[in-house]
Amino acid sequence: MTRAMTRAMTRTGGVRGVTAAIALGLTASPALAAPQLQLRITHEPPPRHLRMRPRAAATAPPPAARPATPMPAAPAPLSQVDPSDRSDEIAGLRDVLEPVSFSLTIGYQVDGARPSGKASLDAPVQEGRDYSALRSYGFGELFFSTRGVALDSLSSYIALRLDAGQQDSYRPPGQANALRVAPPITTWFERTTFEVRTGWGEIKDFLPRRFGLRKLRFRAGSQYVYGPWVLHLDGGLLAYDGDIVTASAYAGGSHADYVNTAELANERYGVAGLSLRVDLRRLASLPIAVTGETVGVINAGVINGVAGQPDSTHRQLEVDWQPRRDFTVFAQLRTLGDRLASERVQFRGRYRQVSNLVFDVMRRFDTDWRWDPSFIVADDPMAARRYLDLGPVVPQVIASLRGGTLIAENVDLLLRTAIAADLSKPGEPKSSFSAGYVELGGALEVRLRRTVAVGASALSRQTTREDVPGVPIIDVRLSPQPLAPSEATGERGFTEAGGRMRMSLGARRFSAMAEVYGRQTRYAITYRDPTNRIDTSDVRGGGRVTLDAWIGKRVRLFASYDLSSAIEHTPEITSYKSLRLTMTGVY
Amino acid sequence: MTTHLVIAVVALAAACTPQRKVDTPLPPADVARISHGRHAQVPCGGCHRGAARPGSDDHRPCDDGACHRKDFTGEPTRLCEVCHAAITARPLVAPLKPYPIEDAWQAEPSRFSHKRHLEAAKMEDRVGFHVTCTDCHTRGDAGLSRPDHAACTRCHAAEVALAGAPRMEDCRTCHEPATRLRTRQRLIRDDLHFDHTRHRADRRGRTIHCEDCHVQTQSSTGYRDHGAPRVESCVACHDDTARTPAVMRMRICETCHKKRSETLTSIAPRNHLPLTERPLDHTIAFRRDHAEAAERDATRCAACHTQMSGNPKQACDECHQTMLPADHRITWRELDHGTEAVDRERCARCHVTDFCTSCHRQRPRSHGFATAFWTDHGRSARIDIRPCVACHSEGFCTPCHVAIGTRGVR
Repeated sequence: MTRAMTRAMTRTGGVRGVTAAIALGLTASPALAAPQLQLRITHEPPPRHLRMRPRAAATAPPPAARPATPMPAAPAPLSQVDPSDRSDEIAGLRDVLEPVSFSLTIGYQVDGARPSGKASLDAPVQEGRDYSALRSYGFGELFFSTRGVALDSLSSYIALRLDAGQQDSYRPPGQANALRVAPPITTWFERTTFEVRTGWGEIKDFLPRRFGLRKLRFRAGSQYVYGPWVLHLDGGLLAYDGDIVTASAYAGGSHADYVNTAELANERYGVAGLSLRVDLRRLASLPIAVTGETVGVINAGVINGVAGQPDSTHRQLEVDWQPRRDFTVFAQLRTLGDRLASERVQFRGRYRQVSNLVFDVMRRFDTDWRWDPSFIVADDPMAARRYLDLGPVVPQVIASLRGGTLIAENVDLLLRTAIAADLSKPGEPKSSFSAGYVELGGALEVRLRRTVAVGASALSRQTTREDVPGVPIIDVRLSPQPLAPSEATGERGFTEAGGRMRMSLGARRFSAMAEVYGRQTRYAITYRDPTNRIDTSDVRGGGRVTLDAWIGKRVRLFASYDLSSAIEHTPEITSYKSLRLTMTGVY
Repeated sequence: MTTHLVIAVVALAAACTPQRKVDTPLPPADVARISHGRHAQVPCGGCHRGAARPGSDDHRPCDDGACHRKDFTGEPTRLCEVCHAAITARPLVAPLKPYPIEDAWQAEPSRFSHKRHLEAAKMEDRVGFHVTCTDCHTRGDAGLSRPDHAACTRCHAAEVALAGAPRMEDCRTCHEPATRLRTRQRLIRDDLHFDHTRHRADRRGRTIHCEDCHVQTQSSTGYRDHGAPRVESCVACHDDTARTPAVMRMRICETCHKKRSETLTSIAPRNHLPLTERPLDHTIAFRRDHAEAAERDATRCAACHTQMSGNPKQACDECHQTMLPADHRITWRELDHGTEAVDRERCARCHVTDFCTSCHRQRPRSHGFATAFWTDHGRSARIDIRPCVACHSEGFCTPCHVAIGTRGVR
């Protein structure tokens, strides 16, 4: 230090030198008290490739005079991948978040049967007069959905169906009026229509976000509601999808599907329902969810209603216990009016994605509906039946067990069994459709090569038919016989088995499948004719070949050819056959 | 009704009871392993001096006077088994056990959170920079290294003095005072081989990011939720000709496996199939029982089932109105479906009531449209009269049968 002051005085000389020296001395004096600086690097500094970025908070604030601009966005994360989101696997197939997507399918089908030259069981038939050997028809489906178009919170979905079929007719020689011939084999329709099967718009997050109102959504239009029964409504549904509470209220008129008569089209009933689900998992850390539902079916005063059916109220209580993600037990009670109509317990288990087990027990009481919530009382027994009649409601219990797994990641196996018992007391009405039965079935698919798999399936159901006094009825010629009681009619059992081979280069690239199957049905013996043997069983089979090819990611071509064996009870024709061609465009 | 309520209450109470834990057999532990719990009063640095094995410096510090000196001056004791596999005095042979110990139990496990280290924004907020995978998993000739303490010191050493970052002097910042089962999950095991250095870019030259395969890493807060990459990640590239050469395609087993076995299970498992193939969980059983999965994530269904809207609520009809079950074959409509009416709930999943009604109001083909089936149906009816009574009541039959019968036609 002294040497530095001396050097400064010498270099500058005189008073200026002294001043500089004093100044240097004053400036440097604190250094005299400071500890020795440690300049040795004792640790490797952070690597250079650690990327330094300006902090978001360090961005200069905007000038006060200018309108405030929003805070800059946080730095982008290292990856956009959300680990819980598996859409990366299928992103190449379809982006379901696109604002608009649609799928259009047009198809052509031809089906029919050739005359065998044999006599029929009943009335003699003739091609052209009674049925056409081939019937062709067209059909189409359009699915159109939007997300965030026009309004961010608006989504919509429309499913349209096109049918292009014509009733075939035959004009006998010399007669003015043409006669209608039988409908096609594989389709139910013989009409040309263009109908909206489902079409709804949904808006959500449309109310102020306070009080959780953003979780409200409103769906209006033709829609399906899944409550105590699957309901197809033209109406509105208001729902709250909260974390703890999920609630919905809906009302509307039943949507008439598949109608081919004006009478059915007008036979619509009103529906109003409420649903409330409370998930105790988030509320009280209990893995339980309780759901209560009520549905009112209104026949009087709303639209036309279902003829002969009173208004009814259906309620359902369901308790789900789900201690683990893949383990669920639920119990369900359903009432019709104030009477218990059915109860159900189901266990569902899943292990490692590919192993599933379902055990289900359902008990039905004689207070239940006859077919669905709109049809709860019997029709006039003497009138021609307006509805498909499955007989009286019979108390019944059905237990089923299904389990499947993938063995060694190649052998896909399903086994299932079911047992049903008729719980009605002796003397009470019974039904052929509510008889007890035992069912055993299974399916198996084994891949032999990476793209080739073979499979087999089998199902057998043996039904208990009541021993009714007087049955079988001895058929006496020239004398009318009574109808056999319902519980004595129907099949005694059937067994079916099939095998198939599948080749797939990817489900959305190219796949082909060939399948053969056979079925034997044994019928209950309700009539016995000493002079004319009555068949008690029949055996039939068939096969199917399908081709499914994609041209790029947008166009799908599909073809299938179905062929049955000869039908024992329809000996006048050789077999049923059907060719179906469709083309689908996807956007 | 009361009975059912009682049952419901009992079931509810049973459901609310705590779950019973299933006692699964644990892997055996080496009884000779040192107990960190018994040494809790000794500072970590008292034994762990650098990366070397404690005691490797001529048994220091274990043979300190205050500790185990007598075990090192007399005959071999069980203490020796902590480090030595066996000891023979003459000649002196004392092979060491491997270190660090890599058995099923992990002492003083670390609680490393990948998520915390990979949240770039938070990291920058806290320390001014962020790190990426290769900052810790440094690249070498043999691939990517598994980080050791040296890797941590670059940021966590006291000398670095990063504000907001834990310091390494406090071992408990990372290491838990416990012993637990190892949870490391590995995809590359058995006869699989994999080389990170060959997975830096795909065939087009585009970078393969770590998270393309290690999808769970970024959200992993510990080792338990840090799953191994899934085979599906491999398939995404190895079945894409644009990204992988033909010789490295998924169908060539030797791409990843050292050998191809000749058993049934050598067929590529389902998760090795292209992503355009059906998903792994779409088994035969799934086709029948998929309600819960569809309800949980309908958006996933919509990616392949293009007729669906993608809306996650009340969307079952979007498939059930269009897809045909496998058993709806050519004979289904006219011959087979009646026997399945025993399970009307199954029908109702797709068909509303008027579907049945509409069809059953049409004359069936069997009725011989132009012919007089009404006079000649006896044989069919006697084989199985149930199809008749599904639509016709006895009141419908009787007037004709009585009248015709008296004419002697029947």
